[in-house]
Amino acid sequence: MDRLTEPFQLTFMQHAFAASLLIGLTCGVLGVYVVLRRMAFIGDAVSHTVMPGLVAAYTQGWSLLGGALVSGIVTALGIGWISRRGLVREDTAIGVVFTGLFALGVVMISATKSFKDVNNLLFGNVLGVTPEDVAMIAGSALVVCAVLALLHKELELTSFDPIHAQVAGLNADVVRYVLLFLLVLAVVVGIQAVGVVLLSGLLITPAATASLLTNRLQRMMLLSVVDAFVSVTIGLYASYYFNVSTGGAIVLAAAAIFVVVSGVRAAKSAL
Amino acid sequence: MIAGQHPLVPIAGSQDISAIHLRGVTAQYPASSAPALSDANLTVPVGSLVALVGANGAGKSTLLKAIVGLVPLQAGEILVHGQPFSSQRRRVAYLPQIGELDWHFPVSLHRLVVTGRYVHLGWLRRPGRRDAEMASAALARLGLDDLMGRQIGQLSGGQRQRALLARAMVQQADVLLLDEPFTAVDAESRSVLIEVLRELRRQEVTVLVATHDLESLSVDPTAVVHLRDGRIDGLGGPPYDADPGPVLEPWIA
Ligand SMILES: Nc1ncnc2c1ncn2[C@@H]1O[C@H](COP(=O)(O)OP(=O)(O)O)[C@@H](O)[C@H]1O
Ligand SMILES: [Mg+2]
Repeated sequence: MDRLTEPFQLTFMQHAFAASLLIGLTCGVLGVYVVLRRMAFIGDAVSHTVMPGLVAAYTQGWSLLGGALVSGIVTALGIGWISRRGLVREDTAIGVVFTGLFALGVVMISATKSFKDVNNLLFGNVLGVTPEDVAMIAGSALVVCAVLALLHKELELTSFDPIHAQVAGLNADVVRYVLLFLLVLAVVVGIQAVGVVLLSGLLITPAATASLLTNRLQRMMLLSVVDAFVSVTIGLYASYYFNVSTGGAIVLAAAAIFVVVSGVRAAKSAL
Repeated sequence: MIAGQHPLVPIAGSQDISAIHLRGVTAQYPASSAPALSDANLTVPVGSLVALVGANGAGKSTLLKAIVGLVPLQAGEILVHGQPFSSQRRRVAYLPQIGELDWHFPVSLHRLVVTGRYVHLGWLRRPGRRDAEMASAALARLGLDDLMGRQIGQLSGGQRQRALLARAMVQQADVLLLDEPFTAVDAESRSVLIEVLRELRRQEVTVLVATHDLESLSVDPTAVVHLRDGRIDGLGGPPYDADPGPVLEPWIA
């Protein structure tokens, strides 16, 4: 029992735990739309394209969130614009923007001196979050959950029948931009936990697991959040006791749960 | 029944106003280099049932989509009850081709039908109890009340078409645009669909139905419009070419 409570005697672990749960909530709930709307690739793209913004903010001493938000929103608008035009295949267009901006981030990073900061950016450093970070993460979680609740009807309809939404006067593009904005928020907070490279694992894996377990939307969101909570908790303990990368442990835990659940499902349907 | 409660809103002089009116309509998809519909002229009187026929790719779906603003117009204009579609949304129910929805999405049949009320709700307002009751009633009318809680992907083709018609009914529109409603339909579903279509006709609902084969319609249309390569190339046509004139006048400049 002591082994379970011991880490939380430490203030930094309390902050890390609070931040991780809030991040799990944000990514878990939003990830369901990312999975159902087949936006996984966009999620991955956004998590990489915020790099130049993060690096610029870091080197200039601006707010990291601000830097990431600006480049994330630029990406989201760019992707939304490209896919709306329908001129180039969406995945190709995203691929170009995505690798281009990530490359810019890499070049900018290589000019900075600190390896530790680069490492935090790429792989997350939830053990280092400050109370201000936690407040910011809580704010983002609140915004994401509030918008999802408020626009539930619109998000749901535009996800499975955007044409009907359009005809009914509910502009599917507006909903799409809102979702991309929420995605940027989730990415920015998620990066603090697992970093740029592993972010889409946190966004997609719990939601993918939940989608194996139910075909009710709300229940899927609930299960996805629970899965994300379990994953971040396992990740925190693992990094505390085995001194391994927190982000890596979190995403690995989520992936392990996915493998187990899909194995059980496959076994059930084989019977 | 739901559609029966619908008042054909009496507007002064409404008798003269056709339900749907296309004048010189040319429509083109953004990603395409040639128009999918060229110089289409058509007048559909209130209460008529008009069949759009033609081979695959003839432009039937495009014509329906143009009416509800899903394809941008290069030229011409479209009026619904004498007004632009954007002011008539509530009165026009559009049934897409069955493949245009994501049927794997986690949503129940009942919830799908409730979305027919959204045009009345607008942004942010949630469907209420009355909306839910209307959906239940429409599902009962189409013989789907046992399946209300089922995820939509677990419905057969015929059940999906019935679900889409139920959704159109809860909208209480008086113009109905149907795109291939008999595709992938079993005998039972077909007879339910046809029965409801007949009922809607008796209620003076204007119906425009795209179908690649007229025989499957089984409801005598007021008129038949032939499309070929994006052009209206004939009205009437066997076995209806006897006298399409009085009920369906093409608009002529
Ligand atoms: N989304 C689209 N983008 C580009 N071209 C399209 C699109 N949908 C249909 N078309 C083209 O428009 C023409 C008419 O198509 P459509 O109206 O769907 O025919 P129908 O419904 O009679 O089978 C076809 O040549 C088709 O290839
Ligand atoms: Mg068609």
